[in-house]
Amino acid sequence: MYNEAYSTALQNALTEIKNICPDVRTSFLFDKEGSIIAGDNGTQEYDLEKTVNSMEGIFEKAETIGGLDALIVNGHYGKVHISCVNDMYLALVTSEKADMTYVQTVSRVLIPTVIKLLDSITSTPFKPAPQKPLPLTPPFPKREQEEEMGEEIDEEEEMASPERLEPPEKESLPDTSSQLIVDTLSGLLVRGDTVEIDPKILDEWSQTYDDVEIRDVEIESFNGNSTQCRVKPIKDSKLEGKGLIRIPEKVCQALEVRKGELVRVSPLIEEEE
Amino acid sequence: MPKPKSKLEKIDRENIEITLEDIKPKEPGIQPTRKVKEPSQSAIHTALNEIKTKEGVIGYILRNTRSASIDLNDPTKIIDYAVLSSSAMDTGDELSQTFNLGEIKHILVEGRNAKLLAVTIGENNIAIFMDKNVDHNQIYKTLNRTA
Repeated sequence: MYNEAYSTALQNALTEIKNICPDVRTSFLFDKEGSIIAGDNGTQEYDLEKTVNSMEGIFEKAETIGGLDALIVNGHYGKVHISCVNDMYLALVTSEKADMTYVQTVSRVLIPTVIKLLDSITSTPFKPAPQKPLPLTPPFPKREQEEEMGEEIDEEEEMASPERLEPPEKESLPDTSSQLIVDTLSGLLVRGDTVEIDPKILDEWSQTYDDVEIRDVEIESFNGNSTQCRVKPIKDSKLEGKGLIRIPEKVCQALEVRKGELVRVSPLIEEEE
Repeated sequence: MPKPKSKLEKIDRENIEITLEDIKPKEPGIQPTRKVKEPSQSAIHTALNEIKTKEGVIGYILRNTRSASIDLNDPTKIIDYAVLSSSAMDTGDELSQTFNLGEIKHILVEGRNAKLLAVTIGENNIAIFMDKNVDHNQIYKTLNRTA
């Protein structure tokens, strides 16, 4: 009952912020688990679930800089300002001309005050009742990735090591080379002769050369070492578009590269007879 | 056609700089079939080098469809920073679409230890990492001069 009261009180507070600051188009509160706690009367026209879901990745990745404190997206027609307030996140969507100092001052005073007031009335710490639990998927464990990858491998195929690879007669296409960041592939079931690249890059290469399927690539490290490998697209959608190349550890050793370093990657096509 | 073995110079790993010049074909007969826009690349590099000298700036990642240029004080964090900048841009796009923000001018991700300013100029995605006390508006202005 109290949780409902909290949500209603916060909803009213957010609506008041919108009334005080006409530049605020809409505002809502959500938590790190993806639950929307409260929203003002203008939230109905937006897909908040999708929005909060899209924040999942940034919460995780922002640990690199000590966890997410605030996120500001400044567009030509408006701004989104998401900031941490009392273990929750307050999202304010404003017009492009909004005075963010004023808006933030109002919201950063009003929301904590309402929470404090409600806490003092109920004398129990505020545990917000989520309006809707969102189906946030947990981070993909590395072990699962390896197992999933293992299932795709044909067990009859011999596990080839990079040393045993016979470099086929291939034509290299130096003008399509890309610089990619090395990420290592490890695990018992990882093929030692196959690297993984963003499917978008493979498509671009393929389109550039009349839809030829790119099956092999040449990888060059900046210390002059190079090797040829089979290539397949990265299957983990979370790693797509990051400019990564996932290289088996043995190949990394052969190239003398480590995770995080850059390598130059060129597609190889079969020479026409 | 046999592939000419390219000779790559040794590069200081703590200050990796790759430009489009590095990946251009050396033989005059071979030209890239894809057209690549190069919106004032040198101006962007000049601005980034200027920004990097500012106190409190941790480094930057400049990436377009064909090359990447990374200069970070701590090279062991390249992957983490690259993934964070990419994630920030994805989130920015999502928020922009949902709330009709139009073209994104910049994205700022503030952490408890540092912050990230992400800007797109042409087809260049630029991410600048800095301490929390650095004036990101000044950095944005410096970058915006190149646009």
